[in-house]
Amino acid sequence: MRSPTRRAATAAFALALAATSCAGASSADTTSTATIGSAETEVAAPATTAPVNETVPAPDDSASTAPSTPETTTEPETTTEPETATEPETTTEPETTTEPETATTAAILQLPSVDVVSLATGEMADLNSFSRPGATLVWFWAPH
Amino acid sequence: MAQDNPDLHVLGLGAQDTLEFANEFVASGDLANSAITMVWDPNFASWRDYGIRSQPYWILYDDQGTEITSRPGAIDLGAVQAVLDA
Repeated sequence: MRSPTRRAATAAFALALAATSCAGASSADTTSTATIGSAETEVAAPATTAPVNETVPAPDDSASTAPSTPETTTEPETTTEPETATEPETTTEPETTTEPETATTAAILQLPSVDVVSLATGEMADLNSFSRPGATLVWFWAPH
Repeated sequence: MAQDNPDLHVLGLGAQDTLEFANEFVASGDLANSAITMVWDPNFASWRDYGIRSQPYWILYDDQGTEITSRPGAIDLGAVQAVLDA
């Protein structure tokens, strides 16, 4: 009584059911296998995680290196301090301004460094201590 | 001369004889109250250093300490004044 089309449809449906049941069985097997695999993977996972952790410390080392770089950055700051030390050198320039004064001192007549008696005080003194700035007339005399 | 030229420093450097004689010489010439700085060298060391062998003798230096002239005998006031005026 069934038409050939209906028979074909029924057969197709049966095949579909069979295929589905096989797929389900295989998926169940796959699931169980997957579970076993996942269990093994879980063991392996920590191993995999460990390397990841190893990789994590690496960045930490990098982080440690990072602070080192700031330290290096601090060193230039120290380099800035010497620049401040250079400023005092600029203060030394006024000392160069003092040199002309020394030149004026050099103009004072240099007398022999011998002991003489000051007839004003009666005390012994170095002849050079009687030198004065300006033109000088040295007069050599004897009492007799 | 020293009083007339305040810019000129006159240093009287005596030697020979004794300190007593030197003091008498200064007192007799009223040099103690003058503008001249009077000193006496008991050892001739200064005279030997300058090569002085007779007296009086004088040496004139300009304001830079350079020797202008030196002569034995009395001081040539004209020569000294010329240096001061230069």
